[in-house]
Amino acid sequence: MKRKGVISNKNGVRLFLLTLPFLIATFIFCYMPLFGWRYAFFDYKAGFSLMDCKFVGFKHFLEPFSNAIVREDLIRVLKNTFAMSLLGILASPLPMLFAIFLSEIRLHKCRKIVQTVTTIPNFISWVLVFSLAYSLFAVDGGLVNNILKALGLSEHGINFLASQDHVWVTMWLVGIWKSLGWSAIMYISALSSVDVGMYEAAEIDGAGRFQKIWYLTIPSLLPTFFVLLLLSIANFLNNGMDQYFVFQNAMNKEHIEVLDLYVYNNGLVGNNISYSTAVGMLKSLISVTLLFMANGASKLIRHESVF
Amino acid sequence: MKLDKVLKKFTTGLLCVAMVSSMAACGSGKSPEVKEKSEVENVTLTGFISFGGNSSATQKATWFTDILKEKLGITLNLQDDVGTGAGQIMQSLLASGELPDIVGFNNPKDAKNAASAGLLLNLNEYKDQLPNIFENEMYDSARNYQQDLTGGDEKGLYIMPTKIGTQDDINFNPQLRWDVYKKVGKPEIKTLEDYIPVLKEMQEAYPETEEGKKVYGISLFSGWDNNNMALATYISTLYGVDSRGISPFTEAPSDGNGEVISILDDKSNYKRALDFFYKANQEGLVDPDSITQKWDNVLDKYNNGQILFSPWEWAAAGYNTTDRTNVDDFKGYQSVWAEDFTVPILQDNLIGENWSLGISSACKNTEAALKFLNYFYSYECVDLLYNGPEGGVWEVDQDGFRYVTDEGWDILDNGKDLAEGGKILDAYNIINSSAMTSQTINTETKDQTMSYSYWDATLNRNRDANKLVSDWKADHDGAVNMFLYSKENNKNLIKTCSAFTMMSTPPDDLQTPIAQIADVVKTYSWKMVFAKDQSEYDTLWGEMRTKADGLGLEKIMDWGTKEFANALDKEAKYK
Repeated sequence: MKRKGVISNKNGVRLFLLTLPFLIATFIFCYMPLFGWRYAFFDYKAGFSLMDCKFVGFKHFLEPFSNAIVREDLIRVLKNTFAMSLLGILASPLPMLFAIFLSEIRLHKCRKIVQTVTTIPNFISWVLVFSLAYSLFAVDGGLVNNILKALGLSEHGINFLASQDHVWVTMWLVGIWKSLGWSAIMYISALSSVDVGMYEAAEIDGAGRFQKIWYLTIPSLLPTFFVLLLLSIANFLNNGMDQYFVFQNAMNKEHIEVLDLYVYNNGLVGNNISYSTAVGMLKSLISVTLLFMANGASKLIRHESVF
Repeated sequence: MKLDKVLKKFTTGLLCVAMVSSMAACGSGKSPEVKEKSEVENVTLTGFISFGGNSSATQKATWFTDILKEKLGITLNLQDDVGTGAGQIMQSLLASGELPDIVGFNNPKDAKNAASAGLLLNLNEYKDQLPNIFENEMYDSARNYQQDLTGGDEKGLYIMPTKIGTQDDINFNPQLRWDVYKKVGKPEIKTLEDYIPVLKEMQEAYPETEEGKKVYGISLFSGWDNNNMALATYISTLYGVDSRGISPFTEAPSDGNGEVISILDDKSNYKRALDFFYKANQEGLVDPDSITQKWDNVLDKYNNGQILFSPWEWAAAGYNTTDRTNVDDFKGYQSVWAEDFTVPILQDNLIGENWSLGISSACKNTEAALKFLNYFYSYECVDLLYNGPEGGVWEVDQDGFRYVTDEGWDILDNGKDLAEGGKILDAYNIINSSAMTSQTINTETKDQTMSYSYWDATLNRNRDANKLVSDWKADHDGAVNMFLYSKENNKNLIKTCSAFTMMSTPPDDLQTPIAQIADVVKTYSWKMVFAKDQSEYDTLWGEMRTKADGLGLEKIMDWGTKEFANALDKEAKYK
């Protein structure tokens, strides 16, 4: 008994040591930045040490509530954030379906090519994506407009990048284009762990290709799907800023400015770092609440919980 | 199978290369002492110049960087200013608490913050190493002014402004494609709005360049927007008001005499400029890529002659190469002003511009940084930045006067590189400024101006000019250029007071509303220009005003008006 205890203890220490680098990384990258929250309580000026700045308590948290224009602005930004995130969640089954259809391609080479081509955009930075978009969609000499003009479909060309219509949808489509192949990887690996025996049995029972997908593949992928869905709900407010930052301009700003971009625009463009920090903190609170709610819903409906 | 083998070989090969190079890296890490001795001491200084300094110019202007290397043993390694991003980079640098060795500030606020936060060296403590700054009487006013403004309680000198000295010229000088303007019969332009029908006619007469590129009346870009739409303020400047140097959202007469009003006032010139752009866009004259393009794209279009109107002479100069201007069917840009313009004359910059340089207190090579700054403020360096080295484009005649040689004109007019690599302008573009104005008298020569543009030989050359200029001159009583023509006839010009550069920075409690209103003004101004119809245009204007008022515009206006009065007082003091 005693000896066993020592061994498991030893194992425990070893496992702990193995996880330690990851714990440290998590601490450095996820917890240390929280230290920066203290900036929200001061009138911080870039360059000065925090102690030289004026302590203002909750002033920056109350700002949206005291000024009608700031409040309207924040509501507009939240609306954009919710809309884009909802669209994102609506698109969440796409990678799964994509992975399934990909795996149904019989020709090995063709499948690999499709997978590679769809995964590559994930590794292109947003800045490059924008210059690509500019050379495609610019009115003066852009490829798409040249084609439109040559075909006589449009006389002066369409200014896609500076349009204030359908901003949410276009951004959504660009986002899907960039991430589809990459997000499918998780499902492709999940697919490989599905028991082949089940398919053989289904075949003997006379199931067709679509029946196999519907009754076997999808149900076996659902647990993965739900975990990823929950995580994306927790990230509801974090739709990142890079994409919207590079695509923003005066015409589409009203619809494209999401919370992360608003924080950036206020903090570094508007030199209002303290207010930005306060908004960022509110965002984290809402995210945590959403995560708990989603988990609760999952427990209720599927009797499964992520944590 | 074969592919597998090839891949294996490839990866092993890669690994080998990686290992060898990492070993090489180790080796070089061990032997710096040996290396330093064998070469002349060469220090690399890092830098960030937030007024348009850039690293690509450093790479291009090898003729100048070689001089820096040989003379001072300094290599500059500048971080790029990416247009709109400059302010953001400066903010993050300031927040990190450590600035690069050489810092350029594009506004007094950042400079003051950096100085009072202790991020800059007090140059007063290094007087013996900076003789060019402290012993030149020309810099006295500038030094005194900075000590009062950014020096804090101990009156230190933390930054040195650039472009100090006398000036007598204009920056804004509206241009049209002269050949096209001539083609449509040179219609009269009485006032700003008259440009629209003229541009329309010109565009119809010249819809595409010879290379088949589409021609636009006006092309805009947002890269230089700060608190408002910069291009609109450039147009309003043509009516003798300044809305850039002064506090945000205000518009004051360039000469300082008269009322200070908000740019959001119905009768402001800013509104008139927006009207102008909006109407031009309704006529299909505005480049549809204006919202998304960068300054580089616009410059390309000017160089291709694709834009018919330019508010500046220098922007359009790239198109006026001799193969276009000095032929019988000449092409090119020349000044065409509306009859009622009052264009501000650049005034003597006794205290310099709002663009300034400083040395970081975190700098590890203080010696080298001081050497560089000292050199930058010497006559020698300013001379190089404006004219390049002797024998490049200019020479000295028997009487000791400088003149640009014929080969020199070929290089300058046609944008060719110097023999040592790079254009003359590339060296200027590294910092994107120089210590003195181009019209400062170079006391180390026979009292000629700093820049070759104002040497007698140059002005004489303009008198017997190329065919394009001659054609323009025939219409303007044979005047050398638009500025001298207006000066001669005593019209269309207005003085600028230096009070604009003497405005103090807005107090802390106004910073947030200023940033918020700036965001509103910029966004709405652009939307107005591209509004679908008049009613949408008017609605946007109303919304912009409501929002700006709600965010506290009045308080900022009050401060700005009061501060401008103070600045006018200060101007008298430093004169």
